[in-house]
Amino acid sequence: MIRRANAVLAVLALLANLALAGGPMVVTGPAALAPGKPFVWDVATPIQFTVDGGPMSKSPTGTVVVDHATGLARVKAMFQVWQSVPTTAISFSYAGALTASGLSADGDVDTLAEYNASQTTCKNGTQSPIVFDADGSILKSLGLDPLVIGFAGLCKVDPQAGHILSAHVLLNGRFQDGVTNSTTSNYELTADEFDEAITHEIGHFAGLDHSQINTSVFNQSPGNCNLDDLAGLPLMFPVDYCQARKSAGLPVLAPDDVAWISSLYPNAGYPSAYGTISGFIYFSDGITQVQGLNVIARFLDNPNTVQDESKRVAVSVVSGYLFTGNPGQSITTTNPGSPYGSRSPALIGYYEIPVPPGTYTVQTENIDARFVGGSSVGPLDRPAITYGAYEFWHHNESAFDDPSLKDPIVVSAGQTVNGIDFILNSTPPRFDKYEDGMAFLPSHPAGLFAFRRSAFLLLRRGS
Amino acid sequence: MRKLVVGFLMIVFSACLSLQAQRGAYVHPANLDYLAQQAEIILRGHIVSARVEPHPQFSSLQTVVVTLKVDKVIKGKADSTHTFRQFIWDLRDSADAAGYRKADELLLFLNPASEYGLTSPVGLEQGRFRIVRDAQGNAFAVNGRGNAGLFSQVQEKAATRGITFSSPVQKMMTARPEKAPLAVFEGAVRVLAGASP
Repeated sequence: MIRRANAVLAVLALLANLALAGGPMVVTGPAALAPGKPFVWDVATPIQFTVDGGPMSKSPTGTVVVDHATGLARVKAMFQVWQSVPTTAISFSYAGALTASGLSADGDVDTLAEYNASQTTCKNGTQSPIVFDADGSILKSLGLDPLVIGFAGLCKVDPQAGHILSAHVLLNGRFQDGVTNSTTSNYELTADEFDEAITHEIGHFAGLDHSQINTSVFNQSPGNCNLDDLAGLPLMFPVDYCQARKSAGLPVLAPDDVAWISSLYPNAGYPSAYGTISGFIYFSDGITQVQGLNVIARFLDNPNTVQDESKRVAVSVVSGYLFTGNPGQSITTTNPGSPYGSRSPALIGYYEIPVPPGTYTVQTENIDARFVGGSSVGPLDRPAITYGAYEFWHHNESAFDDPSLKDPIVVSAGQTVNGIDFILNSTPPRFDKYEDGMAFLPSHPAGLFAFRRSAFLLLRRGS
Repeated sequence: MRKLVVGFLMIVFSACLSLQAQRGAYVHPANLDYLAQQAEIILRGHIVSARVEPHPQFSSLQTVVVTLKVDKVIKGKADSTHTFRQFIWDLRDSADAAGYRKADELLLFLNPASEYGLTSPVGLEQGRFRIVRDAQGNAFAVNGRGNAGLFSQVQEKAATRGITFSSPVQKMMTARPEKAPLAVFEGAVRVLAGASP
């Protein structure tokens, strides 16, 4: 038993070292040669970034608090967090101080005109700048309030090839200036908190979306989350509700972060370190696919260990993540919809989760209703709230099953376990009252299961 | 543990220490008192148009220009039609005008406009409330984070300024609803915005 516990701990330690984010932030659309693929950087060579030549943080009186050299070292370390994942091919390279026409020779971005100059190079795809807004003055000029800690975005993409060509990050140095003054809305974060916030933004820089796992933290004290929940809580979680992962003795990246950066940018070691779980989510008719449900694969808990592995090792994705969140329409107006995401109906309810080898349970849930706008998860903003969304997968999936029944799924390295399809219970009828679809799950590992929607309706009427 | 959990910070901000990401941004949490105090203009209205265009002076800065038909002004000055320009930096925001949709009804807490004519909701999504109605037509206000942390420490902070709320407002603040009854909510905002800090 002790040996088994040690083995599990060893696996967990390995995973911790892997320091394993949600799925892709943007997916190719109709303009692409291959629609429905994540936008990624071309990582044949390191992704080059340039850095503001000025200090990271200045006090309100103009005194330098975090000088350029220290700021540069911290930024490099944040990129290194992602690059250090042993199963990813993504790498970054510091290409020197930010340069742009209209920017002073020292590369220090102090004014909105200089920020605009840095953005010009980013929009041209010639530079990916990291800007230090040392005293928050650029944010003020942008009409943004001092609560913004930092932001990141993609500047230029190749919509045909599906490549990210340039991106940018801005860091608000006021959160590191050592001053806490509510009158001037000047607040502080610890270095760990600030660095993790910016490392999250660099995750977006790399093309990663938000990820939802262990929302049970919302039932806990802010800044003092349970370690099991925190260990599995992605750095790409939409809000930073808990204490800094590093301060809690955890790697900066959670297993979900590591899995997705590896999946988007796999290196030669990836196939021997990861398998895949895939399937579809259906409404109760067993035919109509559901987009926008969160799907989580959780490592099976070992009752012989103190830790709850099912919370610590979990990877998630949103169903229909490769399908567009806005297909547009041409009936009442000409609206082409979002330029991003596939239009293939076959992908509306499809999901695919990269997982380290092991035994897992898979479950579905709604995206938290709080995660809208900038904190949205997946392609749908605002999240679709689906009846019957909370369910574990088991071999005899149906519209009438016990949603708490769960069967383990064993995944080996390099293996894709497909057919992990869900049929949600008690979802409202999808088509008209004469709809009579028959649902077959032909690749189901435990055999076929079918039901008639008409029977479902009769039962409902009879109840 | 967070070292920033100290005195007035706890009062000013929500007891919830979450930092909200906003389409590529991390934003410190703000409660209703902060939103009301920080905003230069608080208004409710329907979106007439939202278009994405470069800033007129700085062409590499993308912006969304939003025009509302104003139904109510709670703080500051606004005409019957109000237009503001907000900086956006994310490709997805450029694709969908940062989620500003024609005919949507919003209650906005807007920062003072910068010298370059740019503004934004206070705390980004936190100062941007959608007005939703139930089947009976009752109106509710919901911000971009489901009102999480919105009412934390508001009564305590307000009390230090001698503000007392009506019974319905106190009830709402205690219940901390994910959808705040609009009339009661606007009453609270009016009191907070009108009281001197």
